[in-house]
Formats: sequence, structure tokens, C-alpha cells
Amino acid sequence: MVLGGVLRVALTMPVASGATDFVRLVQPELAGAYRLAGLLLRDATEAEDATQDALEKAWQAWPKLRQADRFGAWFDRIVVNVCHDRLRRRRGVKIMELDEEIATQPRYEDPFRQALARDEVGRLVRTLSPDHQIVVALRFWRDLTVEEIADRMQVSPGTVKSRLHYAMRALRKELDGQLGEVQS
Amino acid sequence: MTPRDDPDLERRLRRVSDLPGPSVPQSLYRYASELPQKTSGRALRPFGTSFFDVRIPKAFALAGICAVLVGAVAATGFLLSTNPDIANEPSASASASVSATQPGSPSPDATATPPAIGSEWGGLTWSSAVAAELPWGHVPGLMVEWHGRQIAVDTVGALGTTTGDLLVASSTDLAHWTTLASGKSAPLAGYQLTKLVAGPTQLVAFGFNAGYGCVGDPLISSAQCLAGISTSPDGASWTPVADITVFRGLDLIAVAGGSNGLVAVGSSGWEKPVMWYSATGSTWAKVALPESMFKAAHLGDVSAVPVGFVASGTIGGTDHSNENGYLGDWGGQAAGWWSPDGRTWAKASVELPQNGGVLLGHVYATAHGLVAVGANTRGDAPVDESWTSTDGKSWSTFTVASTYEVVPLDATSSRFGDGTRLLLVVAARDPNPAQIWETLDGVTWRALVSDGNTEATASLIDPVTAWVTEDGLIAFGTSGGDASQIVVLRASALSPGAVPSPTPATTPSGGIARSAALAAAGASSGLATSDGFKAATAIVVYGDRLSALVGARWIWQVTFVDPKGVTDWYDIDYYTGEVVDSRVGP
Repeated sequence: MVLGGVLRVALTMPVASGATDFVRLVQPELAGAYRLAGLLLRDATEAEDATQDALEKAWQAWPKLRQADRFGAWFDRIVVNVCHDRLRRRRGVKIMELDEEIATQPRYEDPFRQALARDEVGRLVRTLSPDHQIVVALRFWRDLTVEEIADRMQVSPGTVKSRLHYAMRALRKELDGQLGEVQS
Repeated sequence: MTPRDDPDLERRLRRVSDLPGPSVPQSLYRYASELPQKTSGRALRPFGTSFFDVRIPKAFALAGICAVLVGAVAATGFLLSTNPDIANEPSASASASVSATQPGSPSPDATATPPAIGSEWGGLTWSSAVAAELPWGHVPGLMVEWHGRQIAVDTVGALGTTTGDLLVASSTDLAHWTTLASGKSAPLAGYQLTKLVAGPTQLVAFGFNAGYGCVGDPLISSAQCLAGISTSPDGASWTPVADITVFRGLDLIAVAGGSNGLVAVGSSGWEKPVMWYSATGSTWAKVALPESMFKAAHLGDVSAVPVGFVASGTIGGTDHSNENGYLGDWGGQAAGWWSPDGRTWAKASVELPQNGGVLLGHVYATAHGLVAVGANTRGDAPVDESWTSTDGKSWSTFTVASTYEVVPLDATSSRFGDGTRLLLVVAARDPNPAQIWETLDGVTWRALVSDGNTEATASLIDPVTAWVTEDGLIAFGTSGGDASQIVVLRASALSPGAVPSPTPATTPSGGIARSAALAAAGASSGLATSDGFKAATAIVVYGDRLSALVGARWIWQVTFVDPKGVTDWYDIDYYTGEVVDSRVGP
């Protein structure tokens, strides 16, 4: 059989194609995405919601993904953006302390909150701005390089370094301040 | 101070995540698996941009692939309206109620199950599947027709990997491949090849660096950092282009190759268009873009067409491509530019839809002119828009309600053209098999439904790997539900494409009556056949051509009126050109 002739088909196809590929590529990323969302949002239920949001956004944007081998980084970025939005929305929310009686009742312990409570520094991360929380999470909890973080946050490596610098300085200051209070 | 200067703090931070965390809820895995099926509706319907190789906003990507919208289908009467015998048929009165039906489909529901297999809608018969021997281990991502063969390039290994060796191979049947180059002999080894174009005399491959640093977003846009260009006369020997400095620091968005050379379009930022030209692909130069002609333009695509090249995009608007899932209005107006040679350009006249078009998209050549499929983000939800043109200089759009969408929407459908016809392949989605739609003008579509064993063949067609050959349609698929078993499917010939006009038996000295006028005057709709009257199930008004769907055939009518008012009419099968009925003389 002779192909072509006057029928000329010149196609350039992206790597991303059908739904099967999407599902196959996203499945291995779910654990890391859920964990990242959980540590950032400190709530397992909200982490699940955020991961679902990220899945939907990824599926929306899937046809535009040109490099399937970067799916992980791409999906990370979407997760980060979703978490960033949720963290920003939280900033105006005032946290009310529970009455002692209610607070001491047996209740569900969020596994992410427990994980973060292993060290005071885990709890202090939430005092940072959303941008600083994310850069810390990606650097130390996702174990990414500065360049990889820049890729996911859509900022320059210099900006990542700067944010890390200020985030770490703020954490150190808080830790030292708490230590000072204890010592005094 | 850098983060490395506080190792104690780093250690403590890492320890937080070093300990085992909660396991991932199984519901998330289920959600991910079911997502494509759940969200194929309007809210989440990224269209198959496989052949829409433009840097279009993500909101546009959500617009779906309703492709070409049918013209205002308000006609209440139709064919044979001048034939009183037919007009008086009882069933004719029912035609008005079906005039809004999707052309090419018996159902008005865009997501309805396609016509039953083996019904009169069946337009394709799939032959037996042949197991493909693919040297890449998967269906190749880049393929182009070159001197009677398909030349394909991809990396060897798992689908999507870009770290493996590149391999170039050729085939005449898609099933059996001959390796032409691999490893170090392959073009641009070490880079990602995302564009392969056939130029006038040689193949041209474009290699990219993936990573931060381009003007655009390297992850989710087609704009990428060009790392190298390589050319080949045969797919086997490749020669790197020595100087690509004219591309440095700029987004290369789309490339098209035609008989007059190659044209690439890109940008140095939103509303900052850049264009390049090369006669052969070996040397490239920027095309001077007159400010008056390209002011505030964003070039999203370039297409090689029989009349030269068409660059398409938008003027004005706001770039939201870095905002994931942005669904608002991008603004801007659809715009196009035409060139006979790739070097001298003229701005095209683009008719804007009532609510304002946003993007003139990829252009396909068909038997009856050019079709551009673009998008519109005005309103509550992005929708596709389409334009037609005979010369690339003037574009007319169709303004119709979304319920008249010609082709079914699907999240993973894709389209491709061969210069005569435009085909749309809609991926199989349980329980629906894959669907293939064909048009010769972008306006009138017919569904080509597999007649064969859909369980094992056509229902599993990969929508991005269907091709037109002289023998019909050929496609990659999977066999028996086993995604790793890739087969090649062949289908019977498509429409011949040419639609001859009938020669009138009497000289039409009084001019040609417009079919649309007949429709407005008449009230009947259908076709008289030897079996009796058949009512039309859909009507399309396209310019002065009125077409009706009668049974499985699209019929259009040409009429001739002489000075005495005697009308000759011919009913013509839209796709085959066969005159199925006529009346000549009084």
C-alpha cells in the first residue's frame, strides 16, 4: 500500500494523548501529592480535597502538557498552586481556642498534624507566609533542588533562594525566641 | 545567609517528613481513575490539542472540540420544495421538528451514543488488525508523510520518556518499520524533539530544552526553548542547522512547511509576535512584521495551505497562560494573516462572531476551501468558533447555538486533515466506541462508524494516531483490551472528496436560484426515492448551499431557473457527487 500521494498528512503530536495515559501517569504521583498537600494544609481531609482539586485541574490542562516525562513536576506545580490558594484563603481566618473540657475529650487526631508536631519547627512552619511555607515544604519535605522548586513555583531560582533564606531566618528566629522564653 | 547555613534547622525540618505518614486514601486512586469518564462534559472538556499545535490559552483548551458549528439552521423547508408531489407528502410536515438535529447524527444529544454498528450510518469497515512492530516500544509521537512513506521519530522506551535514545524509522503500512537513524545518528540527540515538519525539499526536526528560562511556560504550553534544528533529505542522514541565533530567547510556537518553504511563528511575550522563514529549513531568518499589520498581535499558529500560509491568532487580550485553570475572558479579537510565499504578509479580514471571537486557530485545507477552528472565551464558558475561507484572505464565521454542534464533544478527541477532508476522531469512552467524523468543508459532517468488531478494533483506536492514506483510513489501536498490544487497523476508502456540479440540461439563462431561498419558500423536507419519500433528519444552510440529511446521505440541491420560471433541479449526494434525483424541464 502506498501512503500519501496527494494526500499529505503532516502531523506533530504531543506526548500527551488519551485518558489512559493520564491515569497511568497520575497514579504514581498521588502519594507524593497527597503528602505534600497534607503537610502544607495540616489536615488530612483538606489534603484529600486539595488533591482532588489538583486532579481536576490537571485533567483540564492535560492536553497542553507537552512533555509527559515531566508529568510529576507539572502535577506538583498544580498541587502547589491549589495549596497556595487554600493557604491564602485561610489567612483571614481566626483560630479559636477550644474550651478545655472540649479540648480534652478523645477525638480524631489528624495524622499530618501529628507528624508536624514531632518537632516544634513543624508547628512553626504554619506561621510563615504561604509562599514561604511552600518553599520550605518543597525543599525539605519534597526534597527538591532550588531549580526544581523554581520550576514548580514559576519563579526564578534566585527568588527561591531568597524565599528560603527569609523563611529559614524567620523559623530560626522563632525557635531561638522560644528557647529564650524557656530559658528565662 | 543561605539555607545551607543552618544545618540544624534543616535536619529538624527534614525529620518532620522522614517518619511514616498517613497512607493515601484509596478514594483518591479511584477518583483519578474515573476522572476522565466523569468529567467529559462541558465543565471539564479539554479538547484534543494533538493537532492544534499552537500556544493557546488553557481556557481555550477547555473549549472542547465542538469544531465547526453549523450555520444558522433555521430553515424550515428543504429539498424538493419546488416539487409539489413531494411537498404534499404527509411525512414532510414532520421535518421541521428535526431541523435542529446534529448533522451526521440522528440524535440531537452531542454526547449520545453514536449510531448502531452496522446501521445505515456505517461508513467505514475495518479490516483485520495487524500487530504492529514498533521499534520505540510504543506508538511514535512525531510522524510525517514523506515521499510515500511515514517517517516517525520518538525516544525508545516507555511512553513519554525523553531520556532514551531517539530513533527515526520509516514505514509504508504503519505496522512494519525500518530504522533509519538512532542514537548518535539521530537528529539532535540529547534534546526533546517536539516538532517534525516536511519542508519543500527536506524534513526539519526541532529540538528543545525542557526547563525554566523560556519566555513561555515550558511545562504546559507548546512554547519551548529551541535548542537545535536538524534537517534530512531522507530521514536517515541528519545535518544540524549551524546557526539558530535568530531563535534565541524567543518562544517558538508553531512551524508549518509547504511548497514555498517553512514558516515558524512565536513570540517574545504576549502581543510581541515573531516570525521566521526558511526556504529549505537549513537557514532561517526573521520576517519583518510591519507594526501596522501586527500591532498587539499574538500568533498562535501557522498553517501551510494550498494558497500559501495562514498565520492565525489574536489581537489584544491578556495572557493568562500562567494561571492554572483560568476560565475567564482572555479578551482580544481573532485575527489572521495570509502570505503566498511565507515572506510577504497581508492581514486577513476576519468576521467576528456576535459575541466577539478570540482566537483564529489552526487552519485545515478541505475540498471546498479552508477551515479555521478557534475559540471564544466570552460568556460563561469557552466555546469553539470556526471560520471558513476560500483564499485565506477573508474569513467568515458561523453563528449558531451550541445545540447545533456538528460533532460530538469528547475530552480526548482530535482532528486532522489531509488537504481534502477534515477528520475528527473521538476516543472510545465506555460504553461508546470510538467515533470518526468526516467533512469536506468543515460545515457538513458525517459520522463514519466502524462496522467491524468494535470490541477488539475500532472502539480502541487511539485518537491521536489515525491517518489518511490513498486506501482509506489507517490507525493505531490496541487489541482485546490489552493496551500493550498495538495493532494497525485499516478502514475502507473515505469520500472521494470531489463534488462535481451537474450539467444543466437547459441553459440557465435566468440565473441560478439560491437553494437557501428555496428553503425559505418551501415547507417540505426530504427526498423522493424509488422507495418513496424519506424525510430529512437534519438541515444545514451553508452559504448558498442547502444540504439535508436524508437517511444516511447528505443531499444538496442545485437549481436552475429559466426566464419562463421553469426550474431544473438536481439532488446531489454531498460526498459522492452522485445525482440521486433530478427534474429537468417543465
